Amino acid sequence: MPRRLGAATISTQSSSVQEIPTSHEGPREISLSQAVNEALAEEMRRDPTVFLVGEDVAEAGTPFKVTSGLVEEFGAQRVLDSPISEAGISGIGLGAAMTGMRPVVDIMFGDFLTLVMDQLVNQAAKIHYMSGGRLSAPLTIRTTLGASRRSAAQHSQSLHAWVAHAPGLKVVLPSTPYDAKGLLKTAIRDDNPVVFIEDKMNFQTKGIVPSEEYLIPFGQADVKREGEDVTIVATSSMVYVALAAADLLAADGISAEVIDPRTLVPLDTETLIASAKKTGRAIVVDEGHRGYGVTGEIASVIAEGAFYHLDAPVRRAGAMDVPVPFSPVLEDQTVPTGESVYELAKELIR
Amino acid sequence: MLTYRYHGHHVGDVDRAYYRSKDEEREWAESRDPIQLLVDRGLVPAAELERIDAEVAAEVEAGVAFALDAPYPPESEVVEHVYA
Repeated sequence: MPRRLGAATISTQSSSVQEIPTSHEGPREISLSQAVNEALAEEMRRDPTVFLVGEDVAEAGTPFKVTSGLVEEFGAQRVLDSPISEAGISGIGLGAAMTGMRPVVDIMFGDFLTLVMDQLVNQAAKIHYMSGGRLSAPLTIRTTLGASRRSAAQHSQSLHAWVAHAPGLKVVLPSTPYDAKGLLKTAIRDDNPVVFIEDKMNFQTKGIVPSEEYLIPFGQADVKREGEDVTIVATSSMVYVALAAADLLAADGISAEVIDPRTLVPLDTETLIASAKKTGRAIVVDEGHRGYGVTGEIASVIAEGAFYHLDAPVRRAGAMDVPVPFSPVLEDQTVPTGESVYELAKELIR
Repeated sequence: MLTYRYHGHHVGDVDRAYYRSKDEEREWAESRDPIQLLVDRGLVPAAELERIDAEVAAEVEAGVAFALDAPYPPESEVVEHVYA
C-alpha cells in the first residue's frame, strides 16, 4: 500500500455517482472508503433512525467521496448537507441521538474536533452518567486523522488521544476495509457516543470484505502478523508502517508480531499484554503526538501487565511534538516510518 | 449580499453546479461586478485597471518563481518556531 500519496492523488471532484450494490456475490476487494460507504448504506437500510449530517455529505459525497451515492438512495431528509459549523452539526446530532435517532455526524477533518469538544466532552460523554442512566446518546462521529498529505498544520493532526481521554466516549481507529465496515456498523448500533476516526491516507487502501453481513465487536485487538521476537502495537495507518518494519526485520531474521487494537476505548489490554509476555519486547506506534498520548497509555498498560516478562523497556514511536509542517522535507520527519520503527526494534533487540 | 465569491472554496472546487447555478455566477460576473461597474460608469479608465492587473500578475508570478526556485528548508528547521 503506498503510504505517501500527494494531495493531488486524492480526488476532490468527481461527477460520477457511485452505485451502491444491495447484494454482493462472494468476498470482494474494495477500498476503505467503499467499505465505510457500504456500512453506512446497510445501516440506513436496516434502521430508519440512522441519518447522516455534515459538510458536503450529500451531492459532493465529501472531499474523500466516502458518502457518494447515499443521498440518491436515501434522500435529502436522511443525508443532510450542513453549513460549515462543526459545533452546530454535533449539537444537532447529539439532540437527535437523545431523542430516538442514530445520527452519524461527519466532521471532515479531525483537526476540527476542537470545535466539537464541548458538545462531545461536556454533553455527549456525560449525559448517560448525569441522568443516572435514564438518557443515552447513540451518536456516531466520523472524522479523520493523519499527516503526509502536505495539508499543513491545521488539516493534518491526529487528535484521537483527546477524545480517548474523556470517559463516556468510545474511540475506534480502523486500519483495513474489513475492520472499517464491521466496526462502523457496531458503532452505529452502540448506545453510546462513538468517535470513529479514519486515516485520510487509507481511503484508497484495498482489502477483502465478505459479501455477507458481519459486525466486529469493540475491544478486540487483531493480530495482523504473528511473530516471536518483538511485539509492535500499531493503530490506524501505523499498522502498515509496523508491517513494513516487520518485513525489514524478517530480512534480519527477527520475527515481529504486529497487533492492531482497533478500538482505543474499550482497549483489549489482555491481547496486548499476552503478546508482550510472549515476545518479551514491545514497541507502540501511533500517529498522534508522542507527548501525553496513545503510545504512553498503551506502553504503560504493557509495562504494568507484562513487566516481569520484558527483556527491555517498552519503546514508543509517535508524531514529533511539533505542529505538522507543510514542507515535505519537514513533514516526512515528523511521522513514524517503516525504517524508523525498524531502527527502534533493532535497538531493542541488539 | 455585499460580497460574492467567483471561485471555488478550494482549488478542487471546480464543479459548483450542485450548490449554485452557473447562470447565477455569470449574472454576478457580467452585471454586478463592482470593478466592471466602475469602468461602465466611466469612473475609472479601463487602461488604469489593465495596468493594475498587469502589475499584480507580475508580482504574483515573481513570487511563484521565487518559491519554485527556492531550496527546501534544511531538515533542522522542523523544531523551529514551536515556542517563542
